[in-house]
Amino acid sequence: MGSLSKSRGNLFRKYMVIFVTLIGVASLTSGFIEIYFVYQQNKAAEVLLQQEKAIAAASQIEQFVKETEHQIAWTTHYPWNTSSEAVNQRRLDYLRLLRQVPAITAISQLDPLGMEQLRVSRLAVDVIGSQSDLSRDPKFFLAKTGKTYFSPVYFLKESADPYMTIAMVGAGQLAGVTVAEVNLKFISELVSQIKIGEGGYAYVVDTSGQLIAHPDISLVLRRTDLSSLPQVQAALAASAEPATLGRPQVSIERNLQKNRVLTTYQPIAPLGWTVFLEQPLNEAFAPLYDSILRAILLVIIGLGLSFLASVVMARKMVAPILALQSGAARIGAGMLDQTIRVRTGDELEELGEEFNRMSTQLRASYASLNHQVEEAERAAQDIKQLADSLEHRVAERTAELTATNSELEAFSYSVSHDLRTPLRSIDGFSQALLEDYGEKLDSTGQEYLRRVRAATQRMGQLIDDLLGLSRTTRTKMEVQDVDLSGLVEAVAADLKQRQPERQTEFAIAPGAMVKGDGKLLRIALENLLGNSWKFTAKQPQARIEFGVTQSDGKPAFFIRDNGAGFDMAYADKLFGAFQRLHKTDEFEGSGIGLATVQRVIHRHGGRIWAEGAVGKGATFYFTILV
Amino acid sequence: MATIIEDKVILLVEDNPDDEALAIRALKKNNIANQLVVTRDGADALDYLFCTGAHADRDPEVQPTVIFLDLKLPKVSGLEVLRRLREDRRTQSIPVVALTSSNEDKDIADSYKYHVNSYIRKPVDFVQFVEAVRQVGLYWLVLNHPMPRAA
Repeated sequence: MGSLSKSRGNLFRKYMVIFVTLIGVASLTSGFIEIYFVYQQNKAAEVLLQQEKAIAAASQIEQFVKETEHQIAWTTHYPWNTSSEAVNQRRLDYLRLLRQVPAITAISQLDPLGMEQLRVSRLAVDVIGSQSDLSRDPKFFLAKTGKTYFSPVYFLKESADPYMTIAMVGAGQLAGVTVAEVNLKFISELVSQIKIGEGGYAYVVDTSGQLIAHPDISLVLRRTDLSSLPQVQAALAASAEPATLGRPQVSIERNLQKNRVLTTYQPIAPLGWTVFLEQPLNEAFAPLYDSILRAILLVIIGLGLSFLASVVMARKMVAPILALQSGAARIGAGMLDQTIRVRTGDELEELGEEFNRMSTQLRASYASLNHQVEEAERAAQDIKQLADSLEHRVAERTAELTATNSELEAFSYSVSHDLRTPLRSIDGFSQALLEDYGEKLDSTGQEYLRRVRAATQRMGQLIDDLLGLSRTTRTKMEVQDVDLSGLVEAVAADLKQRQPERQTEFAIAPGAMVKGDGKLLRIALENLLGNSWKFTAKQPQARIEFGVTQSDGKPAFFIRDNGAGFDMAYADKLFGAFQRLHKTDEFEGSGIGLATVQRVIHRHGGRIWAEGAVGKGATFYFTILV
Repeated sequence: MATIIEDKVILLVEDNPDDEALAIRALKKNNIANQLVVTRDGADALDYLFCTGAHADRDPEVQPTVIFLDLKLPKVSGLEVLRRLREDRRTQSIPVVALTSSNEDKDIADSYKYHVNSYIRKPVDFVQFVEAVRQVGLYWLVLNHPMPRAA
């Protein structure tokens, strides 16, 4: 079941991954889209705010400068002359101006030639008629053209504050030029009033990037140069080309403290200054970050919910599949009586029904198969019983045969010994009688004794022949290649040697090879050739032939002679033991020879038969089929 | 033909009195006049050879020059006698001629297995038997040199 639970995990995990991925990707996408739009909106709002603030700051500063300019201009309304009354009047005006406008630290009156006639300062005693020649000073000759002159920002030795000079021409023919020195730290005060959120502020730089107003006045006093900041460089470049001026550009840059800020600028028109507004980025975008956080939270919650939903969904989807799987596994394991219950109302339920149908069919098939197997087993059992009984019978037969054989063995042994022993006594003592008492017997008595001896010896020969016959049955066959022609030659040679005086012609076909027991075949050939030899004894031209012919498509060997022959009417008696077709005095023999031959041929799976006629010889055929 | 008169003893192991008589006759006809000891069963033959039982008083120095041994004997068979003879150092070199009625291959093969010196089948024809006894007696008693006696 280990693999089953493992695969259950796989399917479940697959579904889970698919669900979580789908829902996760969807919620992440919507989250990011949300964040993107929030960011865009937030940024636009911030930019708008900064732009407006920047425009407002610039106009405030402009306002301050214009106000100051206006205040100075008010003192120039009265015509100027060098009379002491007029000078005094002007001195009073100037003092009042200094009282009213704290930013102006000193103010002086130049005559039309550029000579200083009056100087009123907060820091020094009033000077009248110093005649200092300022005719070549730009504040004089530029102001003389009728347009208010604004000097670049400068710093005085006696004060750390930045200053600026405003000069303008007075009223009347003899109008001189009024030169006022304005402390710009008041702009810093003005600027420090401008706030954007918590940490946002404004500052002002001059045309060269020099800081002239900042909420932290110490930066101004230290004469901080901001021209290296990219936003300042951009602003300076833009003011050099007034055509590009339009709505203030908002960008994200690093400020003097190297913090990332959202910043914008706005030129202050008549002065060439630029007011900058900046707000720490994290503050500017704080609502944005909130939005992002909210979106991320939503995504996480969405993911969690999607995970839970997918677990539920996957379980719901996997459960019927698992039911199918375990049902199929049960069917596979052979539990065919189990049914699968899937109630999903879809293809899975159909599949479950298919499985149920299949298991039903399998159950039927199994039942029939079992029946067949049982039948086959029964048949096998029957066959085994048959085989067992057959084996038993074979064993019984073998035991019987063995018993018979050993009885035969004992019988033969007994015959070999015991039957001959009395014969020897008869013969021996008959001979002893003849030798020792022969003279006491007449010729008839002696003849009788000789007959006793002859009969005894014939009896001995009969016993030997019978033993030979039984031996052909008893001896174990040793099958090998036998040269039948060679055996015939050898037996023929034996016969010739025994009776060298006989003239008998042998015609022996060479190369007749068979499989068989050489010893037994020799006994058979000895008997057959011995018969031919015996029955051709009275033939003047005896001829004995050995050859091979065909019988039923098989080789049949034959031995043919031109001897006494036999009557075919008795052909069936030829091979029986003790059957003789000739009288003993005609041809000697025991009648056992052909019986012995037949047994040898039968033991070789062959057949023996004879053809012949009285006085025309005989032919003995045999086959060997080992 | 000169009579062979020697101190050489012939042991005839034969249970059949007829055969014994015929054997003695055959020996006589061949002028073999050696001392003939006849034992009528295998056990008696072994007693004689190993000087035990009835033959315990016998001079163990005198052993037969040749043994004519029938195979079919009461008590202890001829083949058993032959086997025991060949196992004993004292008797293992005595020539043994199996003189028997049997021409069974098994008897012949067993006899040679136990180192018989000759195997002669007693013929039914007594004339042939006499001739066989003559040849065998002449060979083993006259021509053959027996194993020298131990000092």
